[in-house]
Amino acid sequence: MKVICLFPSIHFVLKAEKALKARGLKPKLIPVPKEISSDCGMAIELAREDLPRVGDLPSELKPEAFYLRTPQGYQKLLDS
Amino acid sequence: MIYLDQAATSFPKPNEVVEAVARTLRNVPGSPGRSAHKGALEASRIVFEAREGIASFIGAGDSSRVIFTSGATEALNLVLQGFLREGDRVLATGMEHNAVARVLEALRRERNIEVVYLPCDEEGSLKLDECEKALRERPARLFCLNLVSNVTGTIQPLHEIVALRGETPLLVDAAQAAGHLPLDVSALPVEFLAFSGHKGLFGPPGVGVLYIREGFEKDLRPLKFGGTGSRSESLEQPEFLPDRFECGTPNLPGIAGLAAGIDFIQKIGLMRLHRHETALADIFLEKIRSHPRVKIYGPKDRVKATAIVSLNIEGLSPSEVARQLDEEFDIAVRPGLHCAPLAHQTIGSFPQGTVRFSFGYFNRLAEVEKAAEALLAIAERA
Repeated sequence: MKVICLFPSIHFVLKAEKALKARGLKPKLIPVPKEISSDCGMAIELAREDLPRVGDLPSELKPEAFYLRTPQGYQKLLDS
Repeated sequence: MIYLDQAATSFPKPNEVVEAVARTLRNVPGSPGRSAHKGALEASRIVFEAREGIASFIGAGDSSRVIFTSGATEALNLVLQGFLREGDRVLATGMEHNAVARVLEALRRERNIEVVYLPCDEEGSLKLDECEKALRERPARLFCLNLVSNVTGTIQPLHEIVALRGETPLLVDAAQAAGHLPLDVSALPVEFLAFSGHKGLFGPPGVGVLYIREGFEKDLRPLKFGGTGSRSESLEQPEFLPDRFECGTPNLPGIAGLAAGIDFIQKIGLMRLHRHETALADIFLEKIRSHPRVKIYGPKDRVKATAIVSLNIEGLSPSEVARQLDEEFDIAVRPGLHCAPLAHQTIGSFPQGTVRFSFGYFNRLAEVEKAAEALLAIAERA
């Protein structure tokens, strides 16, 4: 199962991508799914089991929101 | 041509810069931060890496505090127009460039701000006792510091000023300092640092930087409002950096070129580059200083200056000297007031100005020798 992490802007997406890679994770950049947000930017997709590691990121790189991709659609997670 | 107008814009640009600019124009199909296709993502990565590189170059831990502007002038305008309110008191040096002085003059008329120009000696160095007095007299909203004069190359004592200013926020105009002197906002905390990309940093024109210290973005009104590629559903400009102060399509070729220029400097080494430039200025000065008709301005102790030399030949206007250098000797310099009438008033060369020779990393010793000979020949027949 995949989790989608949303950030305020591309700057934070790329900064978080760098930080997650440095932690040995494999973040994937994807366009923000239109079901989640009308924003035209990018988001980070991670394996669900990697989610706790996102909690290690410095506060300014914490995602604004997390969504779980399920067969029924996207489901907002309350916290990482 | 012998190009000794490096303080206006550095020339030539390193091949790496030319290649970086060309690469964006040839191979990067997209606009940074807009849409999510591969080309746009690559453009976004170029801007992101440039921002990270600049943050590390100036010791700013958080790269979102590095704002790209069209140049030092826009960066300075953003702070002055965005930070100063009705009736504020502002301190500035007697060496300011019009990129600061004209904005302050406009705000004096429009927002009734009080502008205090702190006196400098005839070499252009700030009189620290007068500075201290003005700081004690009444709190100021902002202190504008021209770190290196574009007229004389005079370097202001930033360490002392950072210590003296106490709580007063400091705006440093580093247009003539970046790429010549180390700038480290982690060691020397300043609130705002503005510089251009096309001078000492070897980038193309049309790109500059404003660094904003944490917390000082809150009182800063954006100079421009518009599309950022983020929070597009909202009609409010985003609060977060860098988007709050950057809108419209970014200057991708300029930003890529600036990043390549900084990489070039780091490859050469800033100190090596600085030593080369200042050695050229010293050799030039050594050859011309004893001529009775040549008057030299700026610090006598050249440790206090970058590779900028301002002078006059008795009996000739600066523009006449520059014309002869250009037409007869194919040497490019800049005469006149250099957009800095206050600095010329301070050093005693107003209103005629001076002839400015500015040296750079790509200038060679033979060029400097030819320039000195040409100047002496012009002085001899004056």
